[in-house]
Amino acid sequence: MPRSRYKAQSNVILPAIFLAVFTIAIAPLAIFMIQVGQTTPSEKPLKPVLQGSRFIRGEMQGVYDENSTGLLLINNAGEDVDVDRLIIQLLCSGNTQTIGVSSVGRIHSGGSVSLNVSQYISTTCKDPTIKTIQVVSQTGVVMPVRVVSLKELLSGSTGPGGGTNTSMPIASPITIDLSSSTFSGVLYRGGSIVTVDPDRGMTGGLQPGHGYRWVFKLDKVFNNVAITIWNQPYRNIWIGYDPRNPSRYNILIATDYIVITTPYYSTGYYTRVKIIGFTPSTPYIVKLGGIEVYKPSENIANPLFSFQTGQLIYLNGIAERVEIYVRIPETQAGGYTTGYEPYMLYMNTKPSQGLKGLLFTTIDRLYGFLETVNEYYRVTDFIRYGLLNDYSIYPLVFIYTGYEIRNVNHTGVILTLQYQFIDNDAGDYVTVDLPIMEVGLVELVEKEGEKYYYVYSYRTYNYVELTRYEDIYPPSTGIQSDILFFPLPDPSTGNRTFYVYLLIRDPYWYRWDSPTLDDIDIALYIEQFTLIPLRRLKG
Amino acid sequence: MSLFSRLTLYGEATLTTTVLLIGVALVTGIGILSYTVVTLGNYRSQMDLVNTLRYEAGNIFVNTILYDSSTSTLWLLFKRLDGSIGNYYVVVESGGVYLSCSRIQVYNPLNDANGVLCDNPWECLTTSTVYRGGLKGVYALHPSGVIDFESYARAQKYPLGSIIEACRIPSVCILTGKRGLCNDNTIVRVDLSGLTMPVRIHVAVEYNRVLYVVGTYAPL
Repeated sequence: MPRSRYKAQSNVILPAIFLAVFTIAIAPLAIFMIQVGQTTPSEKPLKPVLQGSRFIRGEMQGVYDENSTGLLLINNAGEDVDVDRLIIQLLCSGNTQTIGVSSVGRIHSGGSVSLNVSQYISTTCKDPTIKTIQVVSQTGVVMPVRVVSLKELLSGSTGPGGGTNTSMPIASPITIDLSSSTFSGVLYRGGSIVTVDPDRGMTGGLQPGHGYRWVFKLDKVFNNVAITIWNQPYRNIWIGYDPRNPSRYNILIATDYIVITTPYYSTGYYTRVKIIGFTPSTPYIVKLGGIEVYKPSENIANPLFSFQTGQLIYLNGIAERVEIYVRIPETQAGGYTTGYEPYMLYMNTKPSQGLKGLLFTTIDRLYGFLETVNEYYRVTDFIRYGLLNDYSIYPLVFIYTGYEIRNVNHTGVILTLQYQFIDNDAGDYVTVDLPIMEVGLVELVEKEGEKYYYVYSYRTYNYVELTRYEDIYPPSTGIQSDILFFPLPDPSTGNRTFYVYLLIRDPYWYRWDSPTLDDIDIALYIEQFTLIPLRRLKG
Repeated sequence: MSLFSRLTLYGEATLTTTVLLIGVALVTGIGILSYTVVTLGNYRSQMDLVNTLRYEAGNIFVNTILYDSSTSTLWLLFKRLDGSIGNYYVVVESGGVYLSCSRIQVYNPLNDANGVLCDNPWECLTTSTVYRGGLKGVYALHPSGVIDFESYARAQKYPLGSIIEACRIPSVCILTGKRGLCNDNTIVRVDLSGLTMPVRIHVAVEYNRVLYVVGTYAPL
């Protein structure tokens, strides 16, 4: 046999043995190793389970009547709350007792529930008073309830009706609808409120601009119209649910100029476009800077000052009504004042039925600083661009005549409200702190057949207080709420009639000696306003 | 030696050498593979542990409902955000003292007829002790990894008692026999009479019968 043949054979056999061994032993192990390597978990980042937890920004409020053991719970948290349990801490002549009420269920944003606490108070608890109430939501959020005790309110009050009557069952709360016909829009002049001439409506309330006086004029109205705004620049936009129908939207756009594609409309003036009852043809409501907006923000500050980043708006749909207001010189407008309509929009930030929120905004363009004009940022142009600074000559007053409060029938009134505020002052600094909102009671006085409303008692909300909860870097604002008590005068002072009123104004124009100061425009949103009358028991 | 025999010997030597080499390679290979598999396995179980602990740290949350200063009673809420049903484990410390589980009770709404919380002994169950012993018998999740609770307490400047008790708080859905996702809040009552502030709730997770503290809440 030739030598080379053996060598050739071993050259074949050896790799064959090696391959066989490798295939049988090593390969499965190697595959196993690769698999183990692939399925070995790496250190994961913290999973976003925290998305399940919720923040609630507003607060819950409660009114407790010791005599009837009735508890009224008002949800001013700014969103619907699914109550898992109310934890009520009672003080029982020295001891404390903790009770849990699990039957409350969902309280809609701005809504309320009333319950009788007596069924939960055990017989061992003498003279029960509520120490604290905590709302435990389904999501695990614990919210303290600001409880107002009627007994404490009245015994501690120094008002004219204070302490004279001890039996005050709570009547049902009334959610005040700022857009209803029972509200008469009136302007405040001097010490009394006078009803506006119905022919003039609410005109004449605001004076816009300084240097040149340019005013808003209603230039065009379209009814039941298909509307397309195709990538137009905008300064500010507010989007809310239509309070009459939450499947539609109400929108207010403030811009420097606009071209509306359908129906065709074009203007080079500063413009406000109000779109009422908007049903989008797109899956989203509007597109802002390429971002599709699917629902209104809960925060009225959210999409503001977007033109500082040069964004465009796109919307396409059907609107019940489109109103276009243009800012023109007073000489063309035939007057130097503007009514409140261009500045107001009824809208809700939640689709919940039953609430009609009111937005009042004088913000048109930009925020500014201490050394700049707020609606424009170059000081040299303040005369030209300051023309967008609005201020109220007369505040706008809503008197709610839907519920008559009479001192012979009522001992007092509790008002609760929920609101948001933002302004366009990046410094958040004013030299004079002025009132922006006022809530209280007016007394109806009839003289020689004429009706006059005199302010009886009120609480003001000044700029410095309101601005505490907002910022514009980035634009954001907190939901604020308040609970107010107004005792009524004793019946011995006569049979007197009162109504609830709400007053709004933009008090800031600019400072004469320093035009970049106090040149503030504002946005105030009143989300919910409730009246709780306290009935006087006869005998 | 004939030419044939010489050739045979030459072939055998080559074969023997090759077989030996393959043997050595196999042994080495299997050794490396076994080492890798064991290492990966350890790494994997360590990762599983850390991931579970990190997940549970975000999943379980504790909220303070109220503190009744007249009775020195603290009411707490326990919840798992993912809705899973399971026990909660806690080590509670107040004013430098680690509390006994007899001071910690869980509210069972099924047994409450009148709405007054814990006015009858059967409404609030005393939690059971799952660990009683030194601080080193419980572990804790620290940014640097899993360390024993004593080191954790020392690092966080928490008191170093000699004995700690870890208590098992059954989820309210276990008490009420609720199936499926558990969205109910578990209410826990802690008796703090005779104790001082601060109060710390160390929330632990059980993993392979070992307790790991994943978060500390200071409600008071």
